[in-house]
Amino acid sequence: VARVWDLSRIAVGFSYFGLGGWVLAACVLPLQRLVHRWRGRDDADLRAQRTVHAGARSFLGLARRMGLVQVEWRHDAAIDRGPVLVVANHPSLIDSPIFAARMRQVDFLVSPAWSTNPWLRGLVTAAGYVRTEDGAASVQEAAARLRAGRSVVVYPEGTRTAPEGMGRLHRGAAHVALEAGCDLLPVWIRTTPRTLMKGQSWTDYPAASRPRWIVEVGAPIRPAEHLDGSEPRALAARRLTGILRDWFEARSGREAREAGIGAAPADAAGKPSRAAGRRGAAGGDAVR
Amino acid sequence: VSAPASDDDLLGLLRRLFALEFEIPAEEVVPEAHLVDDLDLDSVDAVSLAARLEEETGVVLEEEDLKAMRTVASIVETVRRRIAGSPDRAS
Repeated sequence: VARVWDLSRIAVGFSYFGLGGWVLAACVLPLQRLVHRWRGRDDADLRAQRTVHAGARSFLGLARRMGLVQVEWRHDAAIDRGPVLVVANHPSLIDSPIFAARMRQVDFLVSPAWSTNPWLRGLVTAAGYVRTEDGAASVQEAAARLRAGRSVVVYPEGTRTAPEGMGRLHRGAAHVALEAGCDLLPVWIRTTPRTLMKGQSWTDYPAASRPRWIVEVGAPIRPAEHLDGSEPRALAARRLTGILRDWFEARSGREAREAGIGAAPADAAGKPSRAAGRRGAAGGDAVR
Repeated sequence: VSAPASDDDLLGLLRRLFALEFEIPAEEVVPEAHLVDDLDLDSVDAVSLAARLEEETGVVLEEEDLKAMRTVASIVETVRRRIAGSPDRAS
């Protein structure tokens, strides 16, 4: 009976998430865009982001009331001092709704998998999220948003974090910071128990243990404190990404120790960087 | 701008640029090295590499050229052909 109750709660919560996202993407946002343009306004994407913000808040509010999700932000005052360039790990499917619910305006960098997803394409387009098909162009675009006073969220792994730990970090976030002349605001998302990972079905959602998302905002990483300014841009991006990687590895190691499974997962996560030295700063999967 | 003539000259130039721009040791910059898998280049690196190559050789690399380049050898091939004045591109 408990399992049936859990499954019903999960079904309601995720239907709200999935259908709500689709209704926003396919109906509400396109209509809103039309009306906005008809009124002669050119900031339809910002209007759409406020709608996404409201949608994400309502979803998380419902999920919290149903006992499905707990979200706890820590040291997050910096988020409100925006514009900020948030660089986060990406353990679960609902990390972006968590950011969207917390931030009234946020430009996500979205991978082609999301921007071409028929379910979400409309949302990505309407909200004007930055597509990463062309790495160099997306860096310029994200930097332009920051210079215009908009906040940007980047998942430097380019995909959801694997169960065994963080993957290689792309250098895009560092390039954006260098291009925009801004700090990197590292954010560590911890989910206990781990759930909604890539490839995991919603039916496996551990509703009974009421999963908890702790979102910890770190101290800003200021490029000027780590670079002397004479490095070529590509090298500067490698150094900054190395600092980011160390920040993430420290948290991933701590999380592994607290989970009582020793340092092994942290080592696994760190192996690419230590084994390959400068390569650990990691790059894209293709020279696009 | 003096354009290097031979493949060896071009490989030497690439080794110098890779060390300067990306701190990649010269011994790793071998013709068969894959730009992404072995040398960890990304799209932004490719653009800055193209700019440096243009400064050094006068050869302008188009976006399609960059996309076609997979290995160090393919950069050498593309630049050499351009210097020789052939419109053919290495693949």
